[in-house]
Amino acid sequence: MQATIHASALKSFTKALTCLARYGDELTICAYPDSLSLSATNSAKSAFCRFKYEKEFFSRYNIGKPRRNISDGEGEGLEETQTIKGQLLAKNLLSILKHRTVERSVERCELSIVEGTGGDEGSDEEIDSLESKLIVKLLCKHGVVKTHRLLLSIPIALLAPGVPDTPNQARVNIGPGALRNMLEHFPMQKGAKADPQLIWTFNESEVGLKTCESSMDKGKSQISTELNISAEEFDAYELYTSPIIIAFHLREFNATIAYAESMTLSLDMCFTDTIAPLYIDVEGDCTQGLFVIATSQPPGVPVPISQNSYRPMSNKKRDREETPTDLQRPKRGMKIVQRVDADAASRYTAQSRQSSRMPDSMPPPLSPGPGSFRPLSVPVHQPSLSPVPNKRREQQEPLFLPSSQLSIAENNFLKEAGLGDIGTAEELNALLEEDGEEVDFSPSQAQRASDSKQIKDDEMKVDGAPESFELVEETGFGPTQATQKGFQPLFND
Amino acid sequence: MRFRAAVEAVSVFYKITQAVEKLQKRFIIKFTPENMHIICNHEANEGGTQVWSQIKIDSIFADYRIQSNADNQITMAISSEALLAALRSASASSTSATAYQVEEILMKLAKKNDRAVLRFDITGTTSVGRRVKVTHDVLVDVMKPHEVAKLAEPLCPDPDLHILLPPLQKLRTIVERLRPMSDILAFRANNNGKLQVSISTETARVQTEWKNLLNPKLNEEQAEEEGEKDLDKIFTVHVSTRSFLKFLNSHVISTSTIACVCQNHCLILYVYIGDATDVGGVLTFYIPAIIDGD
Repeated sequence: MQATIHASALKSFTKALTCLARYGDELTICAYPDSLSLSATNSAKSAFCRFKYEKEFFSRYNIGKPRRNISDGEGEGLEETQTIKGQLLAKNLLSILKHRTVERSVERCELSIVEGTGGDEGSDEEIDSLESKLIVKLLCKHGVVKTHRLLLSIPIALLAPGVPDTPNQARVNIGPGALRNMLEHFPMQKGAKADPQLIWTFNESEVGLKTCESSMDKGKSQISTELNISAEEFDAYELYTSPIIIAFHLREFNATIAYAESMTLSLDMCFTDTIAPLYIDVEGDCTQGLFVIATSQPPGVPVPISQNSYRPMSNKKRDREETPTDLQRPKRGMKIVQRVDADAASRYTAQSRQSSRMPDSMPPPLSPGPGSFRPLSVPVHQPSLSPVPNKRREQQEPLFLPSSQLSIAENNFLKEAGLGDIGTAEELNALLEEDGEEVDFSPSQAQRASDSKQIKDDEMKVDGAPESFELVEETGFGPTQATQKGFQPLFND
Repeated sequence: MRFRAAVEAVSVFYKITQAVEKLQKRFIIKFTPENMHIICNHEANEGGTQVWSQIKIDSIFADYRIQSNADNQITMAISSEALLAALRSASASSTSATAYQVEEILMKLAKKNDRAVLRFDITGTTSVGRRVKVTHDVLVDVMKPHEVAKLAEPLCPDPDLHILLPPLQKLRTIVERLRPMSDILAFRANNNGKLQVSISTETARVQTEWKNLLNPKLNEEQAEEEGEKDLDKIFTVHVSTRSFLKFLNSHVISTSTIACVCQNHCLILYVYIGDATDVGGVLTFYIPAIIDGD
């Protein structure tokens, strides 16, 4: 992939990166033939941020021909979309682009992704040539050229939440300045730990905000604040019912506001009910920003009756479904992003009926529980579940098994040696639930993450009824090795 | 127990709170029919500094009503950070042009979930004139009369001298430079308008001297006494640099500040609020001396 960003566009690119870095540490880059998308997810998987840049945003953009080889080619070839993916630390890229001298002197910036090919590239580098690289070339005044090479890891592919298309959706539009004026009245504790949560009440003619007192620092908070403002402050204000009460955390929301403010764009907020995530669109020229923030059931606010009463109706209109056992409150950890392997991600898209905006968007959830895609721990599936994901899950599991303590490279060899399919799903599950020590290969971090996630999920289940996540949380098995791609076809029906 | 008032001079209230906020996490506010007293008397705070203040109700509040069984006084402990947050929000219109224009700020004692709160009702308008209402509930502990009776200002001997300090902002710039060098600051002054602020370590000695400052005479009697004294005699008190810096936080509110030295005992600082002619209140800082500092 090659993309050239002119100095004027680079500013907005950097602003987007700043916002992404505030959402999450890991930045995922996906290059499509006609667009480039950058996304980040927070560590709790409860907030997701994605910027999509149209081809026209760049002064030059081409994706290049994807190389066909074992590790990369076939998976892509199957669904016939050329995509190049990689993941890196957002702050690494940001620190290059946000540098003081860069901002002043750069004339254009060339980004290119060189995919790891196993030999024909990178011979001059010490690094493993299996790794993909992002090359940032800054062409500055006076002919100075600065080149940075950043290693790209294989993304822990995440299915981005797809924007639901439902009539039961409230849509409000507001400028960042107006939001900032509202929010500045709320006491913000400084420090990285503080993450205040606000309860928003959207009434017909009035919007109310108040601090959520049941947040973790219950009892500690010495002040509670409430703000009421006319709904006219919003540029667009469409509710399907009122009042709508949602609660969400501000950390990521503030990042979004800061971005919108720096770009002088307004925020298009969509929300459906108290436990569906909040979708924010910030659209600029050739740029689409999508922000999804998990909402939670505000304490003390009864689950709106409408939630159940409109269910039959909503079932007809959307795939999303709430179970009657919904009443349990999602915690901060409510996931809005699900993890799958990169391969499945693209195939989901193919199967998705939803006209999601990005090939990687995940379809609106099919099932209610966080663990429903895990065949072993949730033996009984909702009848409404599409069988396809389950089947694929099972197929993928063996691939994951032997690699849980191996690096990507070793894993690769295993796979190529045909060892990838040993082990049953039970073994896998047992493996995943074990809190065993892991060899600290850097790529295996992802696995560790998925391990702990698995455990967390199980705990949540012990708590009682499966929590009513709006979007399906697909946990635990998030295979982290792109090398599976090479094997995927073996298991295809 | 009833208490309500309109906050007229919110920026003054805000700045006073700012001046003492760093000292203690919680402090005591005592409202009497005439005055508001802000008291920081926690033993454990930085270097044992205490603040006792007296602010005229008229200089901040209007429409002030107070009623209680304890001689119409209400004393409460309040989180400084929370109070500051509420006041910051209330005074936002003075700090940013686009913020809401505040029309009225009502402060009252209320009950919420069986706990006493100091409620700030702020009504304002947005830049295009739409109405906004912001309510802050700050948790307070209303103190019982016998607890209040135990509160006592520290006792100090007659000060050796009074001196009018240079503008605190300037003093602060200097002390901030001294702070990294030494934890102990020597505060020296005489009755002839001389003030020295210095530190001394094994490797460095830094001293700043002011001359021709005023030595205010508190009353006739004192003036007579002083006639017999050696005006040039320097009195010294060693205090914690950090405590002194915390006192200097009050530069946001001060118009004039008088320092009193009780040699080898303490440093007393009177921070006057408002015009010299029409003093709205005074914050009194007691900074204990560090005796073995020499």
